[in-house]
Amino acid sequence: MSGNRKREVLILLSVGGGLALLPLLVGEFYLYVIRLILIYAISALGLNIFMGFAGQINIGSAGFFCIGAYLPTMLQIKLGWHYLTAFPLTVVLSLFVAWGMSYPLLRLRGHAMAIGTLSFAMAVHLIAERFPILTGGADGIVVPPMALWGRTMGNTFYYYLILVFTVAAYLICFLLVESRIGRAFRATRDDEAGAAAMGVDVDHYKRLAWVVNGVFAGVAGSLYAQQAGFLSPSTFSLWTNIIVLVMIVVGGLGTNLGSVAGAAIMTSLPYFLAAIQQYILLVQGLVLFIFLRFLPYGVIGTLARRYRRPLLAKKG
Amino acid sequence: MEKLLKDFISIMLVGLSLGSLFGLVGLAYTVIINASQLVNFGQGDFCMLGVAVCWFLLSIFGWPLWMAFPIAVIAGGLLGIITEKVMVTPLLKREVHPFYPILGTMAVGTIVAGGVGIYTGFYWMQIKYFFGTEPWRVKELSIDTQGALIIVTTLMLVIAYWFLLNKTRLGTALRATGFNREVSTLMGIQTSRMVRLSFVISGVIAAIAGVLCAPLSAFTALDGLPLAVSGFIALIVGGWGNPYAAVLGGVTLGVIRALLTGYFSSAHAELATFFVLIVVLTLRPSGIYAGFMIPKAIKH
Repeated sequence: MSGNRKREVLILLSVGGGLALLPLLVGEFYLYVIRLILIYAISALGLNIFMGFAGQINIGSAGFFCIGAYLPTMLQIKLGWHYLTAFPLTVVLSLFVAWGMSYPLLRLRGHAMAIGTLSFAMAVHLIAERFPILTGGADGIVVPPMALWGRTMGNTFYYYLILVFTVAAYLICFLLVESRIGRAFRATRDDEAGAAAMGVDVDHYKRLAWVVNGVFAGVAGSLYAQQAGFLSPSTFSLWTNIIVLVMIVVGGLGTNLGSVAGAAIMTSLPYFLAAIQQYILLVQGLVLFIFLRFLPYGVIGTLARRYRRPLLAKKG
Repeated sequence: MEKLLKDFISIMLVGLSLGSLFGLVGLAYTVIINASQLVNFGQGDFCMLGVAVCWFLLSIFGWPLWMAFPIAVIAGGLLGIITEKVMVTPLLKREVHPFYPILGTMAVGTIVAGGVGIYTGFYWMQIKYFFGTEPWRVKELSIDTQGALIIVTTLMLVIAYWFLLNKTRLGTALRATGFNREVSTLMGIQTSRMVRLSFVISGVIAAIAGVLCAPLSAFTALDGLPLAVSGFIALIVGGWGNPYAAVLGGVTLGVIRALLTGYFSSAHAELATFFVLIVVLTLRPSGIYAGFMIPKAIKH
């Protein structure tokens, strides 16, 4: 296993390094897309922990994404906090909300959990839309630019900030998966009753996976808000939840690399189809359908099966 | 005082009609669940498709309602068959992540929503009231005709479903398939056909529900998923696996929403739905009406 661990860390470092050098080579448009990809990658990695490794279902990623986006923004606007003080608070709050919501949501089985999580996201979206005191309402709100040492930060700064967080997120997932915790997750996914019989505290691990999912999505959301400069509740609508889901399915459920790959593919897709904005939803549905039916292990999963890399923690 | 009463009755009527929509969606879910333990999250999009087809035939081709409506219903049934054939059954055969069939139904729903959206530009698909907008006056009350139609149709559909399940051989076969698939096969029931049938029935119910409610609540291409969620909440709140409980659950939710919208605001009403869900899940997870008229062989 350790050979593969080294290999994965090497890939991570080289890709990270490459991305770090990118601003010197390519233009702002590509950097913008990559920023988005990285943000969604963080969210996808989190969702993958909960769905791919722990085997549960969460169609409500947009909920934490939304909370993570609005909280630091409103703290900056209403209370004059700096992003760097608001950010840790956001993480803590995401943690609490996730922990709190885990009690009603994680007792549900299967389909009910799917709808429960989706309802959570819907409720968050509703609150964002209808309570302007909290979020500036449906018209949206401008995110104050970040200032450090007296200077306003620009896109390149955000790029590196996001890159750092994405690499950190990947590392966390990587370490988590190879550890005891990761094994417990996979045991829960593969056979919950069996895992419980072997002494795995299934509820505890489900909760942990859910919290990781929520916190990652919250972090991604706050990064998103800061680099977008403008927030509106419509970004976090119901259908947004589907996007992250499609990403992990396309990339490969149960592989960290897959989540990133899926995020890269699905985020850049609209830009390849730039002329036909209206087709986005249809394309997402078709992509999800094609992958579920014909490539159930996703891009990375199918490739890995071909080359039989034990790099992946896959079921079956 | 009289005004208060009149308002209350109007609100209750709205609640009952809205609730019937949720209830019918919940019923459609239950039909599939009872035959195959599957949940079709594209259910809301089935409704939306019915509306889309009906609207298309009405507005673009200028067909009369009595022609467009059946076609829309057939479209719903067809979508059911397609979903089942193309997505669900192949996925069940493979060894994949346990939630793939669910995701598969969502994928089909998304495709339908995306497709309709492209054509309609995600705009509202307006369908006119069946009997005209003049309310029906009974004594001093004015009753909204579409609302009354919805309630009556829902009752008829529930009775028809009950009849199918309990008084026909086909219904017995359906129930048997849901109860124990292997043994049903041994008894000579073609279970795969039964599953397919359940999808068709569910699609038909969904399409009827959608078209009936469209005059009141103007569907857009994106309204499928929120409706699927509301219908599922109706199902959970009412009683899992019990079609009559699902309808009652839907009606309850509809009435609560209408009351809150009427006396407070619609934002409160929508949040209330989730609140009710959480409360029910915490206090009575099997559903409020779980024991209602339990059809004998459907209980698991």
